[in-house]
Amino acid sequence: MKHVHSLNWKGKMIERVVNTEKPPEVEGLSLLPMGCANLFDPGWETDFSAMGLDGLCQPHYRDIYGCYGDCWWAAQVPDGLTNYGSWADECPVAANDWRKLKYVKP
Amino acid sequence: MTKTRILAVLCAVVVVAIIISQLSGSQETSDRHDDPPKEVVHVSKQVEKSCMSCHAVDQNGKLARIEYVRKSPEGWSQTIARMERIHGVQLSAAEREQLVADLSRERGLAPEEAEKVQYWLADKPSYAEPLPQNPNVQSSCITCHAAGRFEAQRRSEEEWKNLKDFHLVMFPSIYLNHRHMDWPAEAEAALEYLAQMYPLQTPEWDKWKGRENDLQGKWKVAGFQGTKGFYLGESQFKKTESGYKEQKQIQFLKSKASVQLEGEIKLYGGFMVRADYKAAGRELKGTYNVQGQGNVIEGDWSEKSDSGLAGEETYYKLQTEKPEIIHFEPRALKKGATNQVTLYGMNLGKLKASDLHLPTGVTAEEIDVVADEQAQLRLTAADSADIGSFAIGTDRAVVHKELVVYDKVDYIKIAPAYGVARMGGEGPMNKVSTQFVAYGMSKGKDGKQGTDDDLTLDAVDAEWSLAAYPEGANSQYLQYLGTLEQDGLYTPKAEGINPAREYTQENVGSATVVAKAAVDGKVFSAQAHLVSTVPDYNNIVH
Repeated sequence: MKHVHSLNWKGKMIERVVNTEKPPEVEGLSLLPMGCANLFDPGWETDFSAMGLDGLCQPHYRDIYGCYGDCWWAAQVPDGLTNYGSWADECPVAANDWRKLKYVKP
Repeated sequence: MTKTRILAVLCAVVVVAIIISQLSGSQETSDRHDDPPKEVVHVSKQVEKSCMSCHAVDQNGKLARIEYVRKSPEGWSQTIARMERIHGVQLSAAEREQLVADLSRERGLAPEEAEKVQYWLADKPSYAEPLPQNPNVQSSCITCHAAGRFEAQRRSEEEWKNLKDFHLVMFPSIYLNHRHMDWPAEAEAALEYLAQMYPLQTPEWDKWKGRENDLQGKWKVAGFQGTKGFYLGESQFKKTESGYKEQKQIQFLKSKASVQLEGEIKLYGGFMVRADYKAAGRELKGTYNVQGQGNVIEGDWSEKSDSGLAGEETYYKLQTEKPEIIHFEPRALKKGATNQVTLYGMNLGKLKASDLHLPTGVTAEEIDVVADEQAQLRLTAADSADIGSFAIGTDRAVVHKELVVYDKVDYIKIAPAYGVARMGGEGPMNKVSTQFVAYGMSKGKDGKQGTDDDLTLDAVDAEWSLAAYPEGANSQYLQYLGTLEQDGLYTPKAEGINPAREYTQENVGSATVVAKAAVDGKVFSAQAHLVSTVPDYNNIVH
């Protein structure tokens, strides 16, 4: 991080939270407050290791519309493409309104 | 009258006679056609009423698609719900129920077929299903859902093949989330395999279709709930218009706690028992199958508000003819020791030690009958006794469980080895707890741990704890996970963002479950893996 400096507030916040002087730890990467990237392809319950959750999106509400809207986890999350188009209508921001998300039946 | 006139009259008479004979002949033919034609009903009147506006009768005289598929009640229920959701079918609750009942009866599963997917139908918590053998099925099907989903279906070859297009239309992103493969090609190969493995016509279904069990009467019940142990009870089924009403009382052997349950029972396909129970403010669901000759009902139950609180249960039809042992404990005898075994069942007043087929080296000293439902038996396993698991019933006494003889406890094991718990309880999502149980284990005859002949002994009391995963990780995060009680019950925390946790995280995480138990004066330790994770938003078996 000697020659790289953050430009925006989020980057500066990360610099405050993560001790950049310390040599990087393996777990440091998984604990960064990052959103979900499809690149990692984590499972719904667990991450690619199938044993942990560090590779999962935190909170999962950050990614739930990614799973819902494009039907990424059709068996675990209602799919908005075909079957449950109005599932999230009452809940525009899942991280705030998660209590409004309902089970789909059956 | 001239000759010509006579000829003309004769001709007219002949023509009239021919016409009359033709008419009377056609009358006979139409008489034959007047027999009432044999009425063909496609599955049932309700299916015709609700489904035939879209599903036409095909060139084989069958209802398109519907009559080329067989499914469980759960499978039909999901199909009907999809027809309502996407294709505009309008049904009342009674009509929907009638459709599921009719289709499960006419296009359902045979008992042998249903038994193989009982874990899926019952949605058994933290159950690890066997991996399907076919590599195409592994890569294109179970990457999203359980194998139980398709193993609980039978289809014609064409109907199996239709599933490829069905998936591509219903879930188009299947291309993207399986982008590391050519999904359509993989699916085609998988479906070819499934068409061979799970054909529409099977000898089991031909044998079963049209038969129905009668549940009426009194039953004895034996069950097991992880963390609480074995329980025994009594039940009675009474017939109603829509199925049966059940009254059940159970009592846990360890805690002596009693539970009264009232159940609304539906019988699908003549053998699949589906129960809705109410018990002191709690609601439970039961998923059972009637077995064999109709004298045994076996299955699973779970709490509706927490499907991780669940148990396995078996019913035995009450009879007065001969001794029948439905449960005994301890189930495992140590060699070179005398064990006091408590037997539970019916007609035990008539039981003699000679009625049991005990394994070599095991002798029964005496039977002390406590009641017709309970007896004490002193069993001694000599040093020379065979080790293994033995069926001890005879034609004079029915015994439903096997007796285990072992030399020593070699290790302990935790079940489930991989538990999945889900946070919930604050909003509409239910918590899913995990019940961990520790069992004593013996290496068996080959003296090697982890082989097929290892003997599972009785459950042992253990000291339970959670450790950080992976080993050596900072265990601070464990405070955000749920609690692991000293009976082995893990209860996750509520869903939602936990403001006390850094980086806007929730109460999720994985951990190692550790059990420590002292057995026969030796302390053993075992580990299992726990994932305490996000809710499952599709409230279906998948």
